[in-house]
Amino acid sequence: MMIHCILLVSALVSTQASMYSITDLKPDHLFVNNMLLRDLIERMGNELAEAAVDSYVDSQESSSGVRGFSDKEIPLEIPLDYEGIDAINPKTNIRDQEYLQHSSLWSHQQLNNYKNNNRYKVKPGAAVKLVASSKSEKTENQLPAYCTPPNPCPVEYNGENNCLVNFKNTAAFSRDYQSAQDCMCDSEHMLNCPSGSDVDNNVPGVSISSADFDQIVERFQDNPYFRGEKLPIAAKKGINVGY
Amino acid sequence: MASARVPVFSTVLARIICRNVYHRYCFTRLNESDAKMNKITSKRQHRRSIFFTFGFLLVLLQTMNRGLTEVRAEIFTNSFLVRMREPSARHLVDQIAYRNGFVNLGSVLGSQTEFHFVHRALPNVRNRRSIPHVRRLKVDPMIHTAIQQSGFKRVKRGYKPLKVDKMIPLLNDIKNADGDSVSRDPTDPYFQYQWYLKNTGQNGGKPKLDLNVEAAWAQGYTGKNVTTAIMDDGVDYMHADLMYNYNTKASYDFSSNDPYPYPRYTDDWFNSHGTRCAGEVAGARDNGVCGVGVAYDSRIAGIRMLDQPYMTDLIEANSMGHEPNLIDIYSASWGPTDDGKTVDGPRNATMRAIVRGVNEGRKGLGNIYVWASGDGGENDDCNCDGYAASMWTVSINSAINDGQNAHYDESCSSTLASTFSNGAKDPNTGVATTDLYGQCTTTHSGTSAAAPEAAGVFALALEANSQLTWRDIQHLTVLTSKRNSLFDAKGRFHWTMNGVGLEFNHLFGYGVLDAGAMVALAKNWKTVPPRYHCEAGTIQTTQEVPNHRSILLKIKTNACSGTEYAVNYLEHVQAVISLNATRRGDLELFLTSPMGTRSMILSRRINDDDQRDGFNKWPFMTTHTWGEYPQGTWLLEVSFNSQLPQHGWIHEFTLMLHGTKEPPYAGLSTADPHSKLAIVKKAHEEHNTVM
Repeated sequence: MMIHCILLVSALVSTQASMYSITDLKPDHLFVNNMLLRDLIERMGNELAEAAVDSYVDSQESSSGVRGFSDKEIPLEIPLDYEGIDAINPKTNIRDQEYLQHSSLWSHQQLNNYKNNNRYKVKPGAAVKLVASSKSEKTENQLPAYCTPPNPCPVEYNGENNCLVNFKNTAAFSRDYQSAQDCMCDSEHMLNCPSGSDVDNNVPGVSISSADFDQIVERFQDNPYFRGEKLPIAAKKGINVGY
Repeated sequence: MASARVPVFSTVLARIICRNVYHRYCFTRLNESDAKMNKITSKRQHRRSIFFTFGFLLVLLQTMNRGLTEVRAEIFTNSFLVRMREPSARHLVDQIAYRNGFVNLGSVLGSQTEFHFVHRALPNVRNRRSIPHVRRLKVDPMIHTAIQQSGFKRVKRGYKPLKVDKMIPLLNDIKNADGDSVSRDPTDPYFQYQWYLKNTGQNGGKPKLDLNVEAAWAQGYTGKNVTTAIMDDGVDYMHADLMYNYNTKASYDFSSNDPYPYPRYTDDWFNSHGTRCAGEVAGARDNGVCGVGVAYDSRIAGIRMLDQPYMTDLIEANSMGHEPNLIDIYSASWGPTDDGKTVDGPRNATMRAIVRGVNEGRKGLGNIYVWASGDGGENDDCNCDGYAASMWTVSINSAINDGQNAHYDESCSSTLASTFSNGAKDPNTGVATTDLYGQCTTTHSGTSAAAPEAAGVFALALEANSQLTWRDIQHLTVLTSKRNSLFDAKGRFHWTMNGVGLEFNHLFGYGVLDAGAMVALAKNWKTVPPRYHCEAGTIQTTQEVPNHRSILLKIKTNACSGTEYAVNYLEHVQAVISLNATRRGDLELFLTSPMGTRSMILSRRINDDDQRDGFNKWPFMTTHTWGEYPQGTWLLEVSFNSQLPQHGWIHEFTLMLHGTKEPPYAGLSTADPHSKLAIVKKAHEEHNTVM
């Protein structure tokens, strides 16, 4: 079992590495990391699955992309991506509405996803499958966050709005406010991070003790938006453009 | 790689996920220490007072200059120079004017014999002499001569005159002559550094090369009742320059899951980006704090969504779909890594959110998504960034203060227009705006700084006409952006006319936004006809792409003509392509329209060494064929630009046409025959008669 698992993971790692050109991460690092991640995800199981934010994607079923299926004015045979266009209707045109399938980024993303390719595969006309897959994407796990900044009360808001009334708009105030929290240190942008101390302990290897595990879970803030597919190429600012 | 963190356990996870993530304003960071030290303290009041004195005059003169058409045919005004037979008192001349149906505006330069008459029944501008009126004056026994004044052109040096709806700003200026605030410069201390709002040649810039916002303000549009969301790392909504323009109800913090998107502290003040973008859009006017926003009476919403160790589809989707009826414009200054080798775009839920935004947002008019084209420089192509390349986003590139493209500019055929950002040798030519913790900065930078300027201009247009749809905004952008003096510093990309007379440049799209022209046209805009989507054709036989020769793929199409969804007038065109190569980055793709417009839909990306994935049904979008007729033969050229021998295979080429069946500008009046609108409209009318 373990050997199978290792084989699987290493296969994944190599695929991943070549697809996204991770040149600076050593494969063995990734290997361990992936093991850790998978272990964690499995342990966390489904308790995080019922994301409070699921309604977003649910609500999409009735609109935009899939709308054509329930609206009688629109031909029922609209395919979900280009693969189906020829087979069904060589000239798929919808009056004055924008449709998802006009962008095949959609299918690109599905097909290039390195995990569970089959699960993400979208077949023409498979509206139900589509929705199912988009749901399952969000149920994987949740990941750590940085400190939470203060929430000062905007103009005309007061303490009843769960915001901070006694607030000074200074760097020192925010720094002190955040330093009282037990959160992940942002080593890229903080001069001093508590080096190692409570951190290295949690990376003992592939297996994690139960106590450590609880500790890690506690550290995951309960932010439902953090669930779901992690984007391999994400949109966060960086400082590394060489100019 | 952005993920060099200390070995925190969680960072290990982050590292797996957050492998190459950049933001689009990295220059700010490099200048950060300078900026902090150089906090500008001297206010340079003497310069301000000069601005004051001449502020009104300048605005008036500029608009007057713009107000008069190019002298092809002679233009006549309703003003007359009247010379009396003998020196006369003012009240007598008033009577003489009155009995002939004129109004005496007073003597000319203190003369006792020469006076300025206007005839209120005449239009401000006409192209024929008003002979009866002249005769009427001449026969008056007290009058020696009367000369109807012709209008003529005074262009801003190096500047294209405003060609739309010119008379209205002039009238407004006259109306506001009694010191109404819109007709003078803002008093904010940093306004003098905001060359992108008013370029007087500060720091070696090109005078008049700016967003022409004063012309929009002079028409009374300052962004009232329009909300722009800054999707970023938070907004300092306690900042004195932003707090009263902050829309609390439309804001959210997805990084911390609460309603208050206040930025997270770091030692390097890294999370200042959203605050800086917000100030560009809606910094308050005349409050003595920092500078002024493009739409200084508009509101901003903060959407904090960039500040976590990784990004998820859910965060992006929820951000772009947040309060689509409260938020009019979403401004994004981020995207996939600009490393020149990434090909990525919005994921499942995010794509749905954008589509829903344009179809249903703003109570059905559609949200406006403004996107920074990217900071990848000449080695990247923003058509590989599915956010910027989307038809549903307005992708904005940047020019620097003398009209060159910025060195970090990432170009692509999906860029619609440009605004301004840093990049000149003088480090003080960054974008002046608000900064974290109530501070101000002069060094905001990158195409990140360009996108919010565009969002501000669109906010002005939406105030001028709240019924504009997301497509109207794109049409207005195409029709009112100006070539001005924008140029490619390296001479690679030239300005080219498309098939219906619209000038475009691969780097700048249709040019730099002109706020004055856009609001003027927006005011009298008629929503464009319905949009249709036509799959023009597809080629799915695999062909080899050899090393030294271009592969040509042709699709002949009638653009769904004869069906109810015919596309006769183009908006966006997508070439959906599946392609593999031994080195993806050495590929170049060109798409040529039936009217001969050649778009570079993929440029060489020297850092992209992918040899495996290629492009999989990737939609390469071009805006260059806007307004053209799509019927005929489209040509796709696939070739390698490489030192080493390469080869590849193209598996699929599908052409998608998006546009209208009806001529889009038929219902619009064209006061100025030389405006872009008039040129395209005339082309369309002639095309119709031929057909």
